[in-house]
Parts: sequence; structure tokens; C-alpha cells
Amino acid sequence: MLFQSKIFRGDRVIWMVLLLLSLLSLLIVYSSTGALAYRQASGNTMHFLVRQVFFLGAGLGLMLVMVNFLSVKIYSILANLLVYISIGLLLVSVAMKFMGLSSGSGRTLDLGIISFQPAELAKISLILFTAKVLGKYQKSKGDLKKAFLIIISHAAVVCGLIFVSDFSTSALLFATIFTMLFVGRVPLKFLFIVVGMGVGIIAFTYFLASQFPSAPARVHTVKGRIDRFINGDPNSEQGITQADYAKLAIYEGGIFGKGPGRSDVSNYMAAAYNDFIFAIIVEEYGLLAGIFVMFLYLIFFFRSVVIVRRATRTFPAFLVTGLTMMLVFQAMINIGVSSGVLPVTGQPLPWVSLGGTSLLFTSVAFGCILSVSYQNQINSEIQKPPIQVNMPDEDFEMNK
Amino acid sequence: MEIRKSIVSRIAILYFFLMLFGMVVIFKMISVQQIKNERWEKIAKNLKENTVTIDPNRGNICAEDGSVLATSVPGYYVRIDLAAEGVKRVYSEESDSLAYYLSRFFKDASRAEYNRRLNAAYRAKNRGFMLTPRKVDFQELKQIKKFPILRRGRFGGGMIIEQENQRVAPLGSLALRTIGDLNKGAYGGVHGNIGYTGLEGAYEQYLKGKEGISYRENLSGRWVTRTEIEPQDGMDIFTTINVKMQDITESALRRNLEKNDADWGTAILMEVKTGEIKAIANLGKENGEYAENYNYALGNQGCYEPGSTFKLVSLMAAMEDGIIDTSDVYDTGSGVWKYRGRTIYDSDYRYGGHGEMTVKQIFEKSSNVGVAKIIISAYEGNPKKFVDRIYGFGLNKPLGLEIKGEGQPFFKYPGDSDWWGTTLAWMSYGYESKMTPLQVLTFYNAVANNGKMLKPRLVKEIRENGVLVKEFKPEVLNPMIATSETVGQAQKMLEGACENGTGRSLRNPWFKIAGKTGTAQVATGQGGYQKGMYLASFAGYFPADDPEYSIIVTINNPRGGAYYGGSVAGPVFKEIAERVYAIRSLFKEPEEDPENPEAPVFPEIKKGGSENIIRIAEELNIRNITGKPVTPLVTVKKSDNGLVLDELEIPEGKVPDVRGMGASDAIFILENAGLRVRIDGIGKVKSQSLQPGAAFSRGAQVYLTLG
Repeated sequence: MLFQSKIFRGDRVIWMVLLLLSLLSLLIVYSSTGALAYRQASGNTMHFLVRQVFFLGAGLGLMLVMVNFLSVKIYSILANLLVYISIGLLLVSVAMKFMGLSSGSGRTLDLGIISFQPAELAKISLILFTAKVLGKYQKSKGDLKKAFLIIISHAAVVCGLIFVSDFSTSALLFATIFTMLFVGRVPLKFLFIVVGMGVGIIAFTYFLASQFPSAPARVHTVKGRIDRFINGDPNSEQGITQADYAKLAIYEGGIFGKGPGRSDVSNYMAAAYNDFIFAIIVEEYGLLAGIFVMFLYLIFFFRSVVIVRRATRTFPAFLVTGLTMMLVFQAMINIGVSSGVLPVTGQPLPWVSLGGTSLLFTSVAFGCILSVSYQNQINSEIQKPPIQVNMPDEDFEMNK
Repeated sequence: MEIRKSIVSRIAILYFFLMLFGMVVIFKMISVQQIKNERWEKIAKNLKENTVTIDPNRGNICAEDGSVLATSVPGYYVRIDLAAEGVKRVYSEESDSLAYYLSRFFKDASRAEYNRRLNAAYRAKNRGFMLTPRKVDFQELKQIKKFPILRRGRFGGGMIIEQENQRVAPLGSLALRTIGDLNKGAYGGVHGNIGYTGLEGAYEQYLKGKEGISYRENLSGRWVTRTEIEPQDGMDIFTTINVKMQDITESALRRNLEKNDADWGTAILMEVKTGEIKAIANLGKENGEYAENYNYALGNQGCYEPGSTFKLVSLMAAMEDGIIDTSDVYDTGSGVWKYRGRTIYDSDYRYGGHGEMTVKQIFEKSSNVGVAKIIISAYEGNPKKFVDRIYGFGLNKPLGLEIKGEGQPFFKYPGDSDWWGTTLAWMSYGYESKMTPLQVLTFYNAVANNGKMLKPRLVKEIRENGVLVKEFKPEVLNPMIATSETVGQAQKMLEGACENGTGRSLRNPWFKIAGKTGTAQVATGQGGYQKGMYLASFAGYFPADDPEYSIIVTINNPRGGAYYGGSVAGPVFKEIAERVYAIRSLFKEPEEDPENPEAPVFPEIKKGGSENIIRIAEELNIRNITGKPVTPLVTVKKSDNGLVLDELEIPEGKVPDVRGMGASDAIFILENAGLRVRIDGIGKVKSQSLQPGAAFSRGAQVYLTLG
């Protein structure tokens, strides 16, 4: 049995969830990229499947390397550096966007050999950074206030830069940091201030758009989406929107689904393999399968809570909390958008949606969580971390 | 302990909220599935209605050199929206004159009938009533646009125009029946777009291309058509037809049919070594004129008793069985032989008969009595052996052509209910059996090809966007129909027939012809033969000493007085053979330039479809293409190391300049502009009969000279 082998270290249940999601991913990506394959890969319907197999495989490999060879402490050491690299890259892509050097929405940075979205790196870096700062300042109220200020200032910069090209990722990351602050025992007073300011900013953006038609396009996108969500889509009477397609897919799926590869709606949707993949899962495998997929993410969340409980130190605990929140939030956004509970926005279903380098960043997140889990197992068995890094610890042991 | 407890309990709160969110999602999904079903049904229906298929361009059928034999140009249907507000306002005043105009234009129904149809459709509030009983071309469409009611256009006059490409043969009737036709559809000529007969039908799979799909979508309040799947144009069929030879064959046949006032005729020219059909003409009389109306060469209606051309088969059977030799002597007496109560006559028995002759002479003089006596003496005791030998030549099986409707060869077998005592004798000189002209030619071609029987081929290659997709190689039906001795003797007999026998009139000073005449009385059905109705034929090959081409000519029911194969079909054979012999060197494979065999040179194209030009350039590895063509048509200039493209605008109402274009592009542009096109020659357009830029009258004919 695969799971008996020594290399799948860390929480076995999470590994199990990951493999189930991988399988689902391949099935759904294969059936929902038919139309895309005709557009981009001259009708080679295997193209995207092969690609997905490659990236899922590479991602799983990356996780195995992280679990087996990297100590959790390394992430703590790298956190500061990574956050500043991210800010730098985000600045570069924002600058390129305004100078008109990049094509598309300016989310992707092309480095010649590889192209990736700096926001992906920024998400993980900021979570690492937040976990580190939170872990370090836990002793007193003053400490926590200091932590809050450091984190919120960094988060504002990073999320602000991401906001320029991608509202929903920016919001997702900010929500993740916010819940980390909450879990990290930052006084509620501060959190309420943040919420108040957040509401203020959104309201400001909304009215900015209505008052100043010349405001940046993204501001209008945000306003439009809010309008549509509150008032209903004005187009829905005349034509069919993405959200309609998604609901149609869910409607057509019924309780048990149409069967693997039988999706019709995916042929008509622009982002069936990505932002609305959950709707296609329901179309092909039914409502029950949809609930099961949601359940898989909740199981993952539950196992993460177990890891946090067993963690001996604060940094790993906050790290797992942050990364888990990010992944689960992202999943819930995709599920919420697909089912029409949330306004339309583009977040992939982690580890299921068609992806390239973004899948590798997702696997880094899972890898970190599994590393912590593995370290917990070692700690409980031999009371001694297996891989020592000769640096003074900056965080605290939670038992003290 | 305190930190952990606090952390975990806070996470638990988050978990609770997420669970709650999950419940909301489940609730929402259930509500989507259970409530508001009508809306989703409607959208699902809409989804299909918003799907528009994009028709691909049907592939061309080309001659062996690539000149276009059949291509697609735009055609139109006109409908009227009788429930449009504008139409309602003027209907009562103008509907009668619309009916009058339609009746006068299409001439297929009376004004009253058009009135009746229009009024019925108007009462039914028909929103898309079809006005055109057939496809109209661009010029006709322009006229129809001026009709009453319709002249107010789409919104005022409810005029709906549908474009659908139609098939044209720019070279006129050349091999038309073999090229084939598209079906006329189930609605009286509407939507005929599926290959039906001939090569159009046989290669439908390749020609038709693949439909594309586009969706009408609402993007931020704007309806846009998004092409989801690009249509894939059909592939081009490169036939074995040689335009020059086809022209020679067809005109020789046509002249002869007219002279002899025959019912129909067919002539086929085949390349001996490859089985490629270089020309295939089928002309039948229709309303006093000859037109390609049926594929007599290979179809069921052309399947006739072969007559004397079959004597070659009979004698070869006997030689193959070692029963006779060409020098054996038989007595044909006075040319009349009574056998089992029926009488066999030689065609020239009135002149007293030929008496004793060798087998070779019997063949050359085409003596029915001689051949019957040979076969009776050889096989009377065992007719099965004879028929088995014919079967052994492979003559009883159809050729298995790709074109639908090949005539089934028919040979009686001893023991069959219709095998009479006299059957063997009559069969020996080509009666009581049936073969198509092409089947006879295939056998003669095998003799010319030293015994190797090849399947006749009509298609050489299939190309997609110029790239070879499929190549057809010669197919051997029978590697050796008989021993080389038998075949050699057969060749000598055929040569002799043209030197000293019935085919003497075909002699010419330049090359020797080998062949056999055939004159068969046409059977009317149950056993009887119609007096004076003959099928004259001539099958053979040339040059006799090194055969290059084989030909069969069949003329049905000549009324001009002559009816013998030699005097009716022979001249056609001779004319084709001589003219093909004269030009045949033109079509020999050009020898490769030993200096620089590989260097690709961009053809001297001056202008054309930008897609085509870029594609050709890519194939030739010409990377350096400058200029940004926005128009679908471009002009091309060669620069030192690449091409410069420029926009080519075609002014409305003026004759487009198509000089320097490929035939296919030129035809499309001209037909689209409303001209009728006839082309002559091969290659690119050298000159056009209407001057570029000149104004032109409706439906004017423009002749293009290619070269």
C-alpha cells in the first residue's frame, strides 16, 4: 500500500484528500477543456490533460521533497526575505502594467524561462511572514499590538499591490491574514478597526467609481460586480452570463450527475476548467459529489486543526492556520461563486482547477502543512526534531 | 497551554462559520435544482439557439495539374419576414406586383400561384417565407433586391438574405459527370450541399470539411459572436484528369455524336502503366443537345453487350488453355453458319465470306463465324472451362470504383436457367453478357500492359491546404491475366486488326495503333434485338510497340447510316490518339535541375488570398514576410529575401483585377462580384476579357486565359 511507504510522511488523511482531489482534477480537466483544446491546442484534447498530469505530478514531488528534506524552521528563516522579494516582483509587474509593457490583465510576470503570477508567491510569503511575526510577539498585549502593526502594514502594501490587477486574490489574502490575526490572539479592538477601515475602503471605491468615471478600470470592475450581485444582472434577461451557465450546470447535474465526460455546459463557458470548475463537477457527478468535494476540504481543514493542536511551537501553528485558511477560503470562494452564493470572481479550486505554475505554489502550501505535521509526529515520538538548524528560535514553545 | 487552547478555540469559531457557509452552498444548490426549473429549461434551449454553425468551404476538385474542375462560389436564397411592421403597411398594395415580378423572374409558377402562396404565408404570419425557388447568384440577388416590398430592405421590406455557397465547374462540361454533383436536398433544390454523384459523392468525407461552431454571447450587455471552433475547410481532390486530354477527348466525341446523331457516347483515355484515367467523356442527347447527363463509361446504363471487342477475351481464353494457336486455320465458309437452329452471320457475309482463315485473320476480320467455331470446337463439351477462364481473367467482378453506381458485369454460367444450347457460341463474340466500357478498357489496358491488370484510377492525391494527405498508388487487380505468350499473341492480333483488318482506317504515318472494333446489336430486353440499333465501339491502345495510352470509344445508336465500330467509333479513337500523341511529351515528368534541386522558389504570384499566400510562403520556408495585410486579398511583391504584402481593395461595381492570381482565388472574386467566369488554360490568370476597373453589365461573362 502506498501509504505504508515511508516517503508519504506527515498527515496521512491529508495525503489521501490530496490524491482524491488529484484524481478528480484529471477527470474534470479532461472533460471540461474540450472547447479550450480546440481554441488553443488545435483540437488536441489530450494537451491539457497531459499538462495537468505534469503539474500535479511535479507538485506532489515538490511536497515529498519538502516533507522529507526541509525543516519547518527554514520557512521561518526565509519569511522576511520572501516577503520583500514578493513586494519587489509585484512592483515590477505593476510598473510594467502602467508602462504598457505587459499584455493581459497584468497578473502574470514573464521571466523568460517561466512565467508566473507574483501574487501567488506573495500569498505564501505574506502568510509565512505573518506566522513568523505572530509567533514572535505573543508574550504581552504590547507585543501583540506591535505584531499587529507590523503585519497590517506589510499586508496593506502587498494586498494593495495585488489589488491593482486582481481584486479577489487581494481580498482573499487579506481575509486570510485577518483570520490569522484573529487566531493569533490579536485584541478584537484592533480587528474591529480593520473591519471598519475595510468597509470604508470598499465604500470609497464604490463611490469613487460612480463619481469619477476616469478612475482605474479595476475600480469599475469592483463596482460593477457589487451592483450586479446586489441588483441582479441586467444582462440576465437578455442573454446568458457566466453565472447563469454555472447555475445551469448545477441544475442539469441533478442529484447524481450526468456521468463522467457528459458535461454540455462546459463547452459554452469561458472558464469551465477554472473559476467555475465546481459547477462542472456537480453537472457531471451530481449534487452528492459536490457535497463530497466540499467535505474533502473541510476534512483537510479538520486535520489541519489537529496539526495545530499538536504543534509544539507558535510559528508552525500559525503557519498551518494561515495556509489552511488560504486554501479553504479559496475553495469556498470557487464553490460559492459556482453555486451563485458569492458574486462572480476568479478563484481556482485548489488542486483541482486547471493550472500551471500556480499549482506548484499550491503544493508548496500543502508541503508546509505536511512538514509541520511530520515534525509533530517526530516530536511526539522521540522528543527531538530530526533536522536541526543552528539558529536561535524566534518563536515560543506553546506548552510553556 | 493557554496559547494553544486559545488558538484552537478561535479556529473552531472559524470552522463553525465555514460549516455554515457550506450549508448555505448546499441549500443554494438544492434550490437551484428544485426551483425555477422553467428558467433553466429556457436557458438550456437558448444555449442551443445561440449556437451557430459555421460552414466550411468545400474542397476543390482539381485536374492533375491543379487546375480547378469544381469549386464553390457564393449563392443566395431570399426570404421575407411577412410579419414585419414595414411589410404589413405596404402588403395589400404591393403583394400582387411582387407576385408578378417573381413569376416573371423565376418562370416556375404563374402570377396567380405566387399570389396564392404569398397570401397564405401572410395570413400565417410567416416570418421567413422562402421567395427563391432556387439558389440565385449575386447579379440575380441585386435584381431581386429591387422587387416591390423587398426594395425597402431588411427592416422596411422584411428581406432576409441567406448566403450558401454553390458549386461551379469553371471549365464547363469537362468530365462533369465524373466530377459529380451535390444532392439537391429534400426541399426542391434547397440546401444541396452534400456530395452525391461522381467524385463529389465518393470523396464527400474529404471534400466537406468540418463545421465550426460559434456562440452568440452577451458580454457586458453587448451581443458578440465568439468563434469557438474554427471551421476546417474541405480537402482538395487531385484527380488524374488531364485538362488538355479531356478537352481533346470530349470534343472529338461530341463532334462524332453530332455527325452520327447517336443517342449517347462515351470515350475513356487511360494511361497504360498506371491505370490513371486521363480523360473520361460521357455525352448523352438531351433536348437535341449533347450534355454530360449520365456516366455511361462506368454506370449501369452504359453496361451493354460488348460485341466484337469481346472476341479478344474469347480467343485469349482458348490460347491460354492451349487449344489454339494464332496460326491454326478454321473454315469460316461463306460467312454464315447455322448452329443449333440459329444462324451466325459475319458482318460482311453478303460479299461471299472469307473461307479458310488463320485465327489471327479471323480476329483481324472480326469474323463472328470464325470465333464461334473456334470456341464451340474447343469448349462445346465443357463450356464451364470457358466461362471459368473468363472469370479467371477477373472480368466477372466489378472494378470496385469509388464512384457509386458501377454497372455490374454479367456472364452466364453453364447450368444457369438462361444458359441455352447456343449461349456458348453467342457469348464467344460478345453477346448474352454485359460489361461497362470501362471494364472492357481495363482488360485491353491489361493486354497493353503486358498482362498486368490495373484498377482504373480517377484520383491521384488528396491535399489539405496544399499539404499531401493521401496519395493513391496504382492498384493491381491481377498481376498476370494470362501467360506472356498469350498476351504477346493478343498484342499481335490487335496490331494486325489495325494494320490489315477492321481497324485499317485508323492507320497513320506517325505511330501504330493496336485495337479492336466492336459492333453489337442492341438488345431490347427479352431475347430480341432491335433492328438497326447498334452499339459501335473501339477499344485499343497506342503506340502499339510501346503502349502509353489505352482508349475505348462507345457510341450508342448512331443514325447517320454507318454503324460499324470501325467507321463510327474508330474516327473518335483516331482523333484522340493522334492529338494526344502530339501533345503527350508536354506531360512527361520534367527532369530535375541537377544544379539546384532543392531551392524553393516562391511562385510568381502577384496577388491573391492573404491566407493562401502566407501558407505557401510558410511551406516554402520563406520567413521574411513584411507588410500587414488587413484585407483578405493582398498584392505580393518579392523582395531580396522575402515577400512584401500590401492591401488589395476591390472597388464596388468595377471589374476586379485578377491578373496574376491563382484560378481558384480569381473565380471566387469574380463570381462574388457578380460575373460569370469561364477559364481556359492552366496556371495563373494571364489575361481577362473584361478590363480591370471597367464597369460591367449584369451577369456578364468574363473569360480568363491562364498560363
